[in-house]
Amino acid sequence: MSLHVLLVEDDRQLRQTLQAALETHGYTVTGCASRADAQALLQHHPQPIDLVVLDLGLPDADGSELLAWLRQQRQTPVLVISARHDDAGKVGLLDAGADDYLVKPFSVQELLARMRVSLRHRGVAVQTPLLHYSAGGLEVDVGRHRVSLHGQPVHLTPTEFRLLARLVRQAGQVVTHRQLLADVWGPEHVDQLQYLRLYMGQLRAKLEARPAEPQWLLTEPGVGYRLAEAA
Amino acid sequence: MRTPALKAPWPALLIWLACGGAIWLLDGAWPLGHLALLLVLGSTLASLWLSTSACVAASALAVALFNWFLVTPRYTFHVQLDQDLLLLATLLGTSTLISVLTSRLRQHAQMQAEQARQAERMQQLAAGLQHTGSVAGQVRAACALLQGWTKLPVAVWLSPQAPDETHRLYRAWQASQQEQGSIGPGTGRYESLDALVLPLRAGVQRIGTLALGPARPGDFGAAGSVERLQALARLLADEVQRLQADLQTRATEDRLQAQQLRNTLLAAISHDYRTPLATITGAASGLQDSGDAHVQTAMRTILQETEHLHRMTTNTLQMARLDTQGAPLVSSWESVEELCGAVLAGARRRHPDRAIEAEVPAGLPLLRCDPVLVVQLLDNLVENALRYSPHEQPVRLRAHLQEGAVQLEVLDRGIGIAPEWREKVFDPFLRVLPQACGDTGFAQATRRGMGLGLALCRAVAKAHQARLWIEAREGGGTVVCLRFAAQAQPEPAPEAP
Repeated sequence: MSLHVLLVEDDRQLRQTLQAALETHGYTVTGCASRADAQALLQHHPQPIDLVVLDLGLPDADGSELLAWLRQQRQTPVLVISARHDDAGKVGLLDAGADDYLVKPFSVQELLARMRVSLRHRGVAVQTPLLHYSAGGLEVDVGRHRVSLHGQPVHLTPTEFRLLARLVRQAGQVVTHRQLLADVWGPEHVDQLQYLRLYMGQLRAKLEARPAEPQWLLTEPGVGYRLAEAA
Repeated sequence: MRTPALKAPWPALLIWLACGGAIWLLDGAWPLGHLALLLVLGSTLASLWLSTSACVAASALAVALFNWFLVTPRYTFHVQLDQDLLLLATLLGTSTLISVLTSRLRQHAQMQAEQARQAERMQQLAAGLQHTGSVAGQVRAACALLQGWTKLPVAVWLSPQAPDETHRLYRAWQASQQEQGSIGPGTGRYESLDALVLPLRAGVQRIGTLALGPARPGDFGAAGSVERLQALARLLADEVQRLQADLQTRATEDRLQAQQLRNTLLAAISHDYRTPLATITGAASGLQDSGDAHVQTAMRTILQETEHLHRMTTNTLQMARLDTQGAPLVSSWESVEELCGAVLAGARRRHPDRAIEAEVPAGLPLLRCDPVLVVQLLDNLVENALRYSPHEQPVRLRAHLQEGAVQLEVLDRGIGIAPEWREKVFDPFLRVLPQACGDTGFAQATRRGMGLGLALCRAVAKAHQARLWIEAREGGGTVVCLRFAAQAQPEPAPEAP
């Protein structure tokens, strides 16, 4: 049976376009335009929902309310699509449990790629957090504290390693600044964004061939960082 | 409280004279006791016009004269009969008592009348001030009223206003600032001053100064005592402060409301534009996968145009946001590397077939800036460079340290911009005319218009106290430079625990 996507989007044109595109790529799509409908479908639809694509501005509520409600019930992956460009809103949603976000306008290919990551990650995360990462010559073994680049061991300071290991745990997914700062430096440092900027610069200098165009340590402007999907 | 000024003593003198005359005429016809009663009558009537002490003195003098002229033996102060002595003593006691009582009664009545007048003045001043909508109007109204009451020139300076150094009252004003209180006649300080200078105090805060004068000594009696003037000054100060607070609150509310409205409007427009754009992008990108070459070309055009529209929408919105007075920048510590990275990623995605080179050395200082705006600025510059330079020529994004400050540059090998256009291109809605470039193919390209693109770049740079300018590139082409001010760096990060 194909994966079932719930598409919550109040703009009819966009909903129909996305629905058609997702169906072309083999998903079963149920569309709805309000929080009330979405809640009813999530609870009572005969085919369980595998992933929710959620627009923020709904006529009867803000998308964040639906997200909060959903997170109390279950772990279904949620991908937020939003026309708002304020970072605080995005960060808030990610911290509240959204898996990823896309800012309008975006291409269908991008949406499909993000959906695949979210679905794959959910499957993995439920079992064990990632302890080993390998992609294009970069190898990270969290358990053994080992990092190598194209077969050569790389020496990282303890803080650099903790930062990298934290990103490995959720490879492919965006991790917000606050999450990173809290997990690496402690919850009292969640506002010290400059720590991250400096340490990320050091990590890139050691790992990336062209630090301004990173291959692994990707920047999510205004939101956080993402380690490229493992190969 | 000082005794109010007395009326002229002439009526009292006349009464005493009349009384004396009557006694002189009736001397001999009336017994001494009756004449004494006439004297008591005179003393009582005269006390209506005289102060207490004058009454007592006049009564004593009258009794002494009565003794001298009328009591036997006449023309001496000697008194022969005991009953005459008793008469004189009674006469002195009675007339003194009556004068004291009468003058007290009169003073009391005068005080009440004065208090009633003061209350009326306070009421008039309060009413005059409350119906005025501006502080300047209040000061004018108060000056006019005070001038009417005191018949003296009135001046008011509200802090931080001060009289000119050449002003007649400048020294007096300065002295009152130093004394932190009232100065002038009747205040106990600077008694010889020819003006009364009162602080305008609302609560404990001094909000200005009130000056009455120049005046001759005694003029301040006319409108009542210093205390009364101080009470009027306090009322004026309270009213001025109330109005100032009111006006400030109203202005803040208005500004807040305007800003809220603008934000709501921008958010709505932003949402309403992006949703149809998302639909078009979604539809076109979905169709791009289908095989037909014609369809693919058409789809690519749609996507490019949508992208262009999206960029213009974002530029316009950011411009409107920056135009708002006092709109706060959302600043954070950003690394140059990541800012450039975001710009490069966007440019490469939009122009996969173009060469874009980056030169970002390691170890540049962090920038305190709004990353969304700075990325938008650089993105606009790179997009322009790509559009206005030959397809096969690379565009270069360069960052370096210049005089301790971060400088970012976008370099192209286009045909360059004539010197006289290098400032004008930053004007909103300006389009470079073909003659400025001297190339018709180029003119065709510029017709697409930069719209607000470069104007937004300038606005963003200004909001960050950064300089943005255009230079000719060595070997042909253009360099657009953005230099941030040198910034104190944040505390270095500690090693994690």
